[in-house]
Parts: sequence; C-alpha cells; structure tokens
Amino acid sequence: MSPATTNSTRRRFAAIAPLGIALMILLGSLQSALAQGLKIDITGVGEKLSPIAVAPIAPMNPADRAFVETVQEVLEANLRRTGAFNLLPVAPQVPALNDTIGASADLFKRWKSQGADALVVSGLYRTADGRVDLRFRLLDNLQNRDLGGLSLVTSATTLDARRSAHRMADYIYEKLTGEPGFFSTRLAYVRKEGNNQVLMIADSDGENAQPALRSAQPIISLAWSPDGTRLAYVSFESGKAVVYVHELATGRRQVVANYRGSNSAPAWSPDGRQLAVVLTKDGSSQIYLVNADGSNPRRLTTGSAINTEPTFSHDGQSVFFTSDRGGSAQIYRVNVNGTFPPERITFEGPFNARPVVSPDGKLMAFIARRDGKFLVAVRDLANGQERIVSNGPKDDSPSFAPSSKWIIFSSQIAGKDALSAVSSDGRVRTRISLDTGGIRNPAWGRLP
Amino acid sequence: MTESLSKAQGLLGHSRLGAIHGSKRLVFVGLLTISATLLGGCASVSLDEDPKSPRARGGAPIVSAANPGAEGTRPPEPAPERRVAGFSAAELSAAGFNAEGKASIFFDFDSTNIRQQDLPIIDQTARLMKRSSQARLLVEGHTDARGTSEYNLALGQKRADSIRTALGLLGVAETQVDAVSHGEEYPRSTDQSEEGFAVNRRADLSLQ
Repeated sequence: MSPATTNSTRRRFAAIAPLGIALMILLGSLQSALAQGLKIDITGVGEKLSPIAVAPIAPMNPADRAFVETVQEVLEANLRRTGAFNLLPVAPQVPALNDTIGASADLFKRWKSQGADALVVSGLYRTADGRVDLRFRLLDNLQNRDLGGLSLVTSATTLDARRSAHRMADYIYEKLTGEPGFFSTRLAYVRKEGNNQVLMIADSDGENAQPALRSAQPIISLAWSPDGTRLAYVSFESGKAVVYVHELATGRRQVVANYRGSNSAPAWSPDGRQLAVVLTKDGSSQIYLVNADGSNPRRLTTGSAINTEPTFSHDGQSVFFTSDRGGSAQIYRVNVNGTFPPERITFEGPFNARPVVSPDGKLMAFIARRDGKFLVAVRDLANGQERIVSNGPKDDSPSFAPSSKWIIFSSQIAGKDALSAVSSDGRVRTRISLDTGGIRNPAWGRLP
Repeated sequence: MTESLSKAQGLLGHSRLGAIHGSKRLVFVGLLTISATLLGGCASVSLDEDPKSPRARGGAPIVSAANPGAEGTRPPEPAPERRVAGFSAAELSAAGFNAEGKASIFFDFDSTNIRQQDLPIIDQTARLMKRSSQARLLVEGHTDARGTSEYNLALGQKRADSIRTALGLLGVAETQVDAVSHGEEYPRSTDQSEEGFAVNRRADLSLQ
C-alpha cells in the first residue's frame, strides 16, 4: 500500500467508544466511501474514560522520525478506539525512558497531578545490526506502580512500525484493563472487485489490507484457525463448493474436502486439530469431523434433513448447527462423541441459523428471521435468553471480535454488501464500511 | 424431499418407474405430487410468499438457458447438425431443453419439492437420459438471497438432489447425474423483489 493510500485510508475509520470496556471495530472501504467522508464516530454515553498520557517517542536517530510517528499515530488510534481511555495532551517535560526505571514516588505524583492515571514513556534505539529497538514502559500513577514494558526489535519498515504499535497497545490495554489486547489480531473478509472476489487480510484497525486470494468465483464461510496462521474457507473456483485451508504466511493451500456434491461450512475445533465440515457425499447435507488436513471424516449427524453451519462450543465437546429436521431451520446442539441425539435449542421464530460461539464461550450469535428480516441475534448460553441486536434486512455471517464484546457481520445497505458491527449487548450498532463493489463474509481472528 | 421420495419409491416399487407409459405415468405424477404435498405440510414450513412462477409469465413450460444472459444471446438458428450429449435439437426441445442442452426448474420459497407442473419435464428428461447411457446431466441447485449463505448452499443441494432422486426413481442410472449446489451465489436476477427471488430459486439442468 502506498503512503498516499495509507494516509487516505485513515479517514475511512473512526472510533466507536461503546459502553463499558469495549473495542472498536473498523474496516476498510473504497474510494466512494472516502469521497462521502464516511465517518463513524460514536462516543460512549456517560462513560468514564480513564485518562492516560502517551509521551512522544524520542528517536535517538533523526532518520527514524517517520518510524516513531507511525508508531505514535497507530498506538494512539488503537487506544482511543477502545473507548476505555482519554488520551491527554502531554506536557513537554517528559522524562527520558531510562529515568523512569525504578520510577520515583515523585515522578508518579507529578504525572498524577497532571491528571494522568497512567503514563507511557518510550524511546527508539538502533541495534548493532542496524535494526530498530522500540522500548517502552508503562507507569501506573494511581498506585505508584511500574507496570513494566517491552523491547520490540524489528526492521525499520512502516509495516513493522504498525506491528510494534499494535503490540504496544496490546500490552498497555491488558495491563490497564485486565483484559487481553486484540490489536495484533487480524480481520479477513471478501471484497468484490469487478468480476473478481478477493480474500483480504487486514490488521485489526482495517489498515494494511493485503489480498490473499483472487478468484472469479465466490469465496464464503471464512474461518480462522485458533492460532491465527491458517484460514479455512469455501471456494467455488472449481465450479462447485470445495473446502480449503490456506496457510497465510506461505500461501500454501490444501483441499480438505472435495467430495461428491457440496463441501462447505468449515469450523475449527478449539485446539485447531479438527474441522467440522458439511459434506453431501452420503446423501443430504451432514456434519462431519475431519482432521485439519481433511483426513479421517467421521459423520456427526444423520437423517434426510439439512444439517449445516457447525460451530464448536467453547470446550470443544459439542457442536451447534442448523437443521431443518423439525420442519424449519433451527439451531441444535450435538455431542462430538455422538453419544446423545441432537438437542434443539432455538424455538423463537421460523428461522434461526448460522450459530457462532463467542471466544469467551458465554454467548452465541446467530441469524434469526423476524417479520421477514434476517437479523443478528445473541443468546446467553448460560440462561438461554435471546436478544435481536441488528436491524437487517439481510444480515449474515456474524463473527465475534476477540474480546467477545463486538460482532461484525455481513449486511446489505441500499442493496449493497457492506460490513456492519454491533456491540454484543445490542446497544451500539454501526455500519463500518461502504463499498461500491461490496464487502462481505468477515472473520475476525482470535487471540493467539 | 429425499424422505418423501423414498416413500414414493416404496409405493411404486413394483410399477417399474423406468417404463411408465400412459396412465401409469399419471399415477406416478399423482403420487409424486401427493408426496410433495405431504412434504409441504410437514417438512417444509409454509414460508412461501405467493411466489409468481417465472413460467407463468413466460408461458413456456420451462425457462431454458442455465446461464444468466443466455436468453438474450441464444443463436437464432442453431446449426441443424448440432447435437448436445448425442441428442438433436428436436429431441432436446421435445424434452424441454434448449439447443445448448440446458433447462431450468423453479422452486417455491424454502422448498425443495418439485412442483407439479415440472413433473413432465422430469419425466421427459428421464426418457432422454435412458436413451443414451453416455449422456450426463449436471444439476446445479440455486436459491434466492434470503437466509444465510451456508443454509442456502444446503438448500440448493437439496433441490439438486431432489431432481437427481426423482430421475433415479424413473430409472436413470445414478452415475449419469451429478448434483451440486451454488446456494445464493449465482443469482439470475439481482432484483430484490418477489419476481427476482422467484427466478433465482431454481435448479439448472445441463446435458453433457
């Protein structure tokens, strides 16, 4: 991506500061959206933001100014988008990084008096082999604690500056909120470009989007491996639905299911060793468990009805799926050992499908048909309570953010495919991209 | 559908579906219709929203051309010697296929039942296929955009399978028919109207 594009891309994104500690979801879009100045800017209502200060990063070598500016900008944008922090302007008298080691009570007091609950101090150094070493330290001024820091040694590229900034943000977010940061996770989606469908992989802020696969035929049902190195999906490139696993670092692709009829709906087991897939090789659409390389298919469902859209429970012991065995599409759960018959779990409405379990295992998002519209719904798996959280009319492919606090999904706005996002409690709803061609099928990678 | 057709097979087990003629064909058609009706009553929720048959508008029994846009580009006069899967244009036409060996069958919303008015083409297709063991038929199931993409993929497969099963009941060798699904991914119409949806809920048959 050229620097010019990167700059303009920034305007595509804006912050949502939702209620409670939440995260921001942002995704890329196209020039038309830019021209319209698409901006999502939702601020938390009545939410107390924690004031923190991020001191300017001092480069030892003036040639590294561009690198530190990228780090600073990406880091601050990440922290703002969490909706958890208020970034204070920083007074000029920032201590040098080395002076903050074993920080004195006086230092904490001084920054606390300036209103900063926490302070990030950083420096950029050059290693003997010419790489850059970004070091930072996080100070908790409220409790006079040194929360430590990292030394991130990388090449001096813009890409590495972004990566280091995401890792910094992850560290700071986790230390200050107690929840793991998600900035280093990645987002996959399918973008329509003319007659082509392009599988894109982007950073969590929607930046740095790279094509991973270009095809004249549809690509659907993206699913990240739990370790974030591979993506399973369904591609129609051979003229029918075939399941592939794509190793992103190498671009190596493996066909994991290409049987008679259709092969679809891949879902990873929590340990990444198995996939649940839907095959029609023995008649109607049935759910099978296969090894990650596609070997050893074991059938999990039976009967003549449709069984599809599997997703593993958090403990990997059961699989939720959609079936029309009861006369309409509803969600069922089956034990992976097949020891119990599937149990129906949704009863409201004529169509409930495409379940996906949140990373923390507490929620299940799915698509519900209500009054002719297809909407995102969320079920509390502990008490079975369900809530509609989107507006429709044609929402699909819900995917939880790594924190489980947000759901990103395919939607249609004025007949165009666009991504939307909603907080899992349904209180903050937003469109996050608009595209002349269309963007759909999002999948947010999990925390490593 | 598979279940109902199995019932139909059981009922018709000794009536030699492969050689149905005259009144026997009517019996078959009747039973298939009954099974379809039964299915409509139990397995398929009545989500149908007064779908307008694309056929009703076109007047012809089958809208041919599996490919979007093919209707407009069909050669006005196919070369007389041209044959598809060994069949002459006249044979294809009599069975409801166009000169490229393509035909489409349409479905009601969320339904995989072959509609009564399409049973003749199923029957004609079966006769054609049985005449040449070399002939192959690809059945591609499609759905409208409503619902989820994966559920629709399964629904399209069930539509394609219901046609393959019906052909099997009529004596066509299983190896002659391949059934796949394209779900909602290849709409013939992008119209977000009931008419647009109706032409997308189809199985495209193509002789090879």
